[in-house]
Amino acid sequence: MAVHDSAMAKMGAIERAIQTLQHIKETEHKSTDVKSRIDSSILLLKRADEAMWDWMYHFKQKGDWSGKGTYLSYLQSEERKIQRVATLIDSALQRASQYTNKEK
Amino acid sequence: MRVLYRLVLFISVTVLMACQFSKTEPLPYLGPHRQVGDSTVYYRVDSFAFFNQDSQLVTAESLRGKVYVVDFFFISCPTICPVMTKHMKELYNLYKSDPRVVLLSFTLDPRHDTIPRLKRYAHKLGVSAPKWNFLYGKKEDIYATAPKFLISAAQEDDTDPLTIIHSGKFVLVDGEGHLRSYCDGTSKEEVYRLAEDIDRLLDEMTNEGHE
Repeated sequence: MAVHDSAMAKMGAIERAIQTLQHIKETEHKSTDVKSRIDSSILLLKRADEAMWDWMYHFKQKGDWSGKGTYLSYLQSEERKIQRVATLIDSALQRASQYTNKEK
Repeated sequence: MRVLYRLVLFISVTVLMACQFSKTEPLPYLGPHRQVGDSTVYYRVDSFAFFNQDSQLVTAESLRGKVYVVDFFFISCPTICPVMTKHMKELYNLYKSDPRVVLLSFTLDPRHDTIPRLKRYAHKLGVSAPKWNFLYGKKEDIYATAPKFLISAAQEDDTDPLTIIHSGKFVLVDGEGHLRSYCDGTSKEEVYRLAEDIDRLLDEMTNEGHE
């Protein structure tokens, strides 16, 4: 849950980055190539955002869980999944920062 | 003995009067306000429209004349939402038979919290609309509506939109759409304090009706 809490804390940053990138795309004169890279950066942010919501949607608390093996092994496998989501969030924010940092 | 009796009686009457006074004092109006001539125009939540778990449209206009409590949640939330929902249910039970009080819970995850899922969730909790509305809409609309309610509850150092929205706050709105109180929805004591504020607003409405 610590990995989740730390990744969840970045969800606001994702929303903010999407808004900033959309603002840059709409208001600044950028080449088609740059605009398309901004679009793919927005897409990556949205995918990271959705991955987080999906993980929370599928995650089962102990009371609701009825899978094979022990709940501990389930938690270990979920930890690996949320770790991947956290990495996706970090790389999406990192990629967006090349445009959003110039805004500051 | 008689002196002691009088002393106890005096203290009881004083405490009772103090309680009555603080209860009848109007709640403050929260959020920005401006002066227009001699009168003050208070901030109010002007417009919103979302569907509840029964696919009924709930709007700012349809809630005119109702006192309502707002929070932001999502069903799969593994952290603070279960506690908030438990406390919201206590408010539901407290005001179950009073049609002037309505509860609104906006989902932050409309992609998963669809109307049928919200309906099942309400059913599992043993609650129903129009008393407790679980509201669904486009994510961008929900995120644009949230700050309208949380304008006074947000801490100055909050910069992340999601941190502000998913702050666990319960916001109390009066029959005219004015923000009148808020509390930490994860704290039982704070929620009881909010219930006292609801009572004060209801008293206010009753008194206005008699004037």
